[in-house]
Amino acid sequence: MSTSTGSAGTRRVNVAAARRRQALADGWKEFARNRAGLAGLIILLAVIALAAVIPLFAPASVLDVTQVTAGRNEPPSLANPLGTDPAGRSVLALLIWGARISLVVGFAATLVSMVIGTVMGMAAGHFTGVTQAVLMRLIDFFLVVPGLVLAIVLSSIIGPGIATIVVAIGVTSWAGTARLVRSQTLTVEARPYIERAWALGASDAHVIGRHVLPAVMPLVLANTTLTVGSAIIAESTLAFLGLGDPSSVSWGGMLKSALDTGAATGGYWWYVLPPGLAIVLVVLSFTLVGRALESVINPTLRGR
Amino acid sequence: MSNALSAADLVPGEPALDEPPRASSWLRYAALKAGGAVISLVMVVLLGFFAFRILPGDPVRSLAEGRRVSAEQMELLREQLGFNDPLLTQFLRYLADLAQGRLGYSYTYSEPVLNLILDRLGPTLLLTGTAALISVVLGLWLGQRAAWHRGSLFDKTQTGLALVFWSVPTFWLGLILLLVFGGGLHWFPTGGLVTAGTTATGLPLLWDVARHMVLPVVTMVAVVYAQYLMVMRASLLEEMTSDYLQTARAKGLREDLVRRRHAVPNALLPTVTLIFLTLGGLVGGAVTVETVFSWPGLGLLTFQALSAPDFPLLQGTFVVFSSIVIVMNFLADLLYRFLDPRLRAA
Amino acid sequence: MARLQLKDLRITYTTQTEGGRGTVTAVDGVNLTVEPGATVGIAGESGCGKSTLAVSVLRLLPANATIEGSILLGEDDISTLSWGRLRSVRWTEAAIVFQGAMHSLNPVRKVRDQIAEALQIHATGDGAKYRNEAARTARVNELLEQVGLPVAKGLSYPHELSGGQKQRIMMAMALACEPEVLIADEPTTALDVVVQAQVLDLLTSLVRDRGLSLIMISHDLSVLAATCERIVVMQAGRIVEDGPSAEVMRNPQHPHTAALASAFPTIGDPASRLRLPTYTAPNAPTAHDADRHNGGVRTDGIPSDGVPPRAGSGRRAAPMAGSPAPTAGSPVPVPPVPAAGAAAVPSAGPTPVLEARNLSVRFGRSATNAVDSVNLTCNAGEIVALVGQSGSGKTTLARTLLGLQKPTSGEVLFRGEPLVHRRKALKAYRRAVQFVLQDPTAALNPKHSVYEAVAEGPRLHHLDGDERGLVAAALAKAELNPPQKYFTAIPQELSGGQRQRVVIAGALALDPEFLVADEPVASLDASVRAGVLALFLRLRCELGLGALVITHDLGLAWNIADRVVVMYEGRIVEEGRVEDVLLNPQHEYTRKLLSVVPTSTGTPELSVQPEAAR
Repeated sequence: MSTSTGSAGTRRVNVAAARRRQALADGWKEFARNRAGLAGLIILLAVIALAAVIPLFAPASVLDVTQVTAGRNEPPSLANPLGTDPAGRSVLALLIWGARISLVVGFAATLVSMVIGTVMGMAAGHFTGVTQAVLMRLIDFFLVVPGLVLAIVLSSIIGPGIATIVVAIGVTSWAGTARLVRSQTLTVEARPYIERAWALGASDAHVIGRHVLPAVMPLVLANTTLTVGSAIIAESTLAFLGLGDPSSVSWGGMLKSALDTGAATGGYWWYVLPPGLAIVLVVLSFTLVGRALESVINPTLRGR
Repeated sequence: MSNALSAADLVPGEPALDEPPRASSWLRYAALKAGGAVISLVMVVLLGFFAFRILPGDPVRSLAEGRRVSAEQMELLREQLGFNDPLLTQFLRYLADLAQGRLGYSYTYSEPVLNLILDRLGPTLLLTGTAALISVVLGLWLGQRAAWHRGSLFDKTQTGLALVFWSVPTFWLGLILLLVFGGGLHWFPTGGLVTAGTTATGLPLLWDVARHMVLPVVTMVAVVYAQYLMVMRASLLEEMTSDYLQTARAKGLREDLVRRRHAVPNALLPTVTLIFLTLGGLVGGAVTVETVFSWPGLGLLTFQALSAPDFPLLQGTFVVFSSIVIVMNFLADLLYRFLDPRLRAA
Repeated sequence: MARLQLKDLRITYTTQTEGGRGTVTAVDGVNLTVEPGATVGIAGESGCGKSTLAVSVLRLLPANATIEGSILLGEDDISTLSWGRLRSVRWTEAAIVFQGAMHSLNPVRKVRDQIAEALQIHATGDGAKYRNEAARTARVNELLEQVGLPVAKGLSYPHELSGGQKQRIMMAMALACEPEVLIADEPTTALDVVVQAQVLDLLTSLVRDRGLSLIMISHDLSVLAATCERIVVMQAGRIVEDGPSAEVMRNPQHPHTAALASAFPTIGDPASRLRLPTYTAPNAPTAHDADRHNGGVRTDGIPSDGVPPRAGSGRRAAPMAGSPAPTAGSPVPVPPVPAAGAAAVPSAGPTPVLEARNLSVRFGRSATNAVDSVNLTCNAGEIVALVGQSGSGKTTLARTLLGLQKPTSGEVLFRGEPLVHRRKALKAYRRAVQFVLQDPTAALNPKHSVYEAVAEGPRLHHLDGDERGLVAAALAKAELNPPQKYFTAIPQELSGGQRQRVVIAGALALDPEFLVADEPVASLDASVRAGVLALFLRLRCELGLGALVITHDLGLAWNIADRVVVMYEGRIVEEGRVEDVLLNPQHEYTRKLLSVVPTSTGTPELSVQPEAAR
């Protein structure tokens, strides 16, 4: 029980804000107890910071094949810690520049996927009758249909490019979120406090906005971090299959050119290993952060 | 003790108070699921058609991209492909063709798409089937062990390993395996279904195929088993708090029997659902793995159709891949009803 | 020699908290001896340690529990037994009928296999013959018959059985290895009153026939009184009272026992009629007019309940199929009962607020109506108790009256006007008729503060004026004082009783004309039940706020209601003034309901002490 007995409105607001701050602080404490999640978060922050400041140290011109100074496929050296690519560019510079595209595409595709998934999931859980049947069918369809193949189809039709990849991944990956959000919506709506809200005279908008959305958001947030990871893998896969933007550098694109130019079979490991390891590291970090968030939200998952 | 309240009923119709739920008919369930599958198939067919006609891109221009094609030639191509007909005419033609099993004509292979797909179906089923089987067995076994010994060294290493594998892009793992075991160590062949130019039959042929399968199968399993492990582990952990396990322990069952007879069968049910729902992911894996290892299956065909680009072929592989997954999911729904007695009353 | 002896038993759970390791003591120095053939009931509210105590007898405790003291089961000290020996003692020496059979059976195995499994596990020594499958089959069939189930039911999966049937399966399973001690942990909690009585009856006879020792855990003293010779009351891990059942019920020594017992008033006892520990209605009967129910008129000639004397008892009983027409009670429709002694409603005649006319509700393809041609009138300022078992359609009726469920046929009338199922009309209606739900913990959004929960209604209806004042007034009416103290609290910081008051305040904030309450105290601990009921009574007497209270509990009707309506299988089978219906029931179903609760005309038949049988 709060000790506040103040009657001033500001006092109440302060107490409510304090409660929210306290909840956030508790959540952070719980998150920080998960060491793997914390490590993931630190790695992600480091990668994001690196990708943000790279133009200061290695301007975009280093990516220009016409301005290279080093030889082709040079092994790692002091000048080029990760060697050079088949065009003579520094692999390290490519790697960090590539992080920008991979992260931006990952986040943007996730945003598309989350918005579609949350709206569809809440609608499918909230409404009944025909609306629900149609939405359920649509979710089921996108859940079952092979996402990568559909993404290939979409992006090969729209034509290669970053926006294409974002749309293709976003449109094919929302169904899992929708399924999750729907079941959470159903759980929330089965609670008597929703019945109480109806009896108080609530409208659909009130029930969704005041009760369902706040209950669904934490789950969506945790799911978002997990989805960013999958989206980065999907991005690299599409780029590897030649659907990426050929004019920009991404991790998937680097691996594709490694395969195309024979770097992979020629033993130039410094051009094959780093992009892959970068993907694994970043995706793993997102996954660890997502799992840690999940356990903060759902205490029964703790220790899993 | 009075008899007034013994099992003998005083009030007529008393059993209705304490009536068990009724079972629903198997046929209705199957019909419901079949209806859902049919709707999904229709949606695949519609998507297969309209995606290639309505989306902002121009298939003919993408087709011509990077080649020297004059405007007249492009117009001719449009005419040939029937893109100049009204949409409805095109659609009806597409449906009529589909009804007769025709999926169009590949312009890179100059062959009916259906023939190409049928040729490549076998190797894909062989590869994905083998990989799926191994992944399921491995993932479920490791998952249930990890859950039961939660927090142990086994759990920590297995969960950690699974999370790492889950974060690995399939194609990259394939590339690494190719580099190390194929290119570097020469332990396994690096591509294809059989050694080029082989005339072997019988057992030697099987041996040859098996050797070619090792790397692609390992690649797929590594990525896929991890998901199954995590799902099985989470599912069993969920089940481990159930009251009926307490009943089983109270009866005097040993812990391993409590796990094998009671917890695992229940934990398997949600896992099976999720495994079938991720079949689409397995197909996605087939595309990249087949591409990396030049495995002559549908996945490689998809990649070839995409690089050409050959839209009738791409449309065909999309329709076939999706249909296979939809039908498999329908079969899974039927199977699931046998596995879970509770569904029979739903 | 005692069958079971707990000596200075302490059970603590180690919990990991931020400040390091902490411990929670669930059982705190309990001494208890159970002789062979004795039946002992352990009573207490949730969290008092009674369930921990029960499972400790077989050491079925989680890994973070520590046992101190000893648990002697026969000659074995359970607390120090090796795992191997412990497993062989489990189920053969003592077996448990678990709480909520719903989840205590494996959902994907046939129930007879689950019974047979116990036989198979312990197929050594005396049970060696059960290594043979035919012997096991025969034994399972025998057990099924003993618990009154057809053998064919054994082939069912748990979800195909009703709650009562599942509990019978649990009993068959518990008896399989012929244990000496049977522990029943809330064996009937989720069951309906009548089914509960059947299950208890079966349990008692099985225990008696075999001379078993029974330890029964329950929060419900009347259940324990009906089945056990001796009652032990626990509070916060300790035993606070221990004595013969009849003695404990009649003359509780410890205040906690008294609080538990008050939740089960004796029907017909004027001391509990319109009278609760914290509030007494102005028109409550006094001790000397105990016989008022016979004439409906007080001895001093003043009409009871402020009702003018009238001919006939003003009640009716529906005729039953296959049973003779009621011999007493007039078939005339119920004359409206006026607002009872409510100063706030000075009207002379009764004003019907809420009416149901020929109301039927049918779900989906169901063959029967959940609510079947119901006619019901609720007048301003009266409390009507709608009594029935779960599945009798009473909750559906409530939801239909509130416009949360569309009727299949018939209509709901509010102030004589039919209810229109249009958004706007419903919204206006909902301001006037408010809902109080069963489980206050679930009825409040855990993320919303008390202030937000109470203000939700006024905000939805865009009520003018000072919102803070409105909320404060509503909380004060619900006896949460001072209201400001509760504004910022979130539900989990409140007790169950306080939460229910917040729900009621949320309804009162809209200044409704009538309340519909669905089992308002069923999920509350016995000791706070009286307080919440007193609130309903006070609202009716001081504000003239009437209510339709849905309940399975006839004691509640006796405590606070003016009229009672009995519902059975979707129909109203009997209705009338509380005194008339409860003290002189006409319909067999009402009689049956009454036969399982304490009444002044006789203790419940189940509570005949086993001593008499010995």
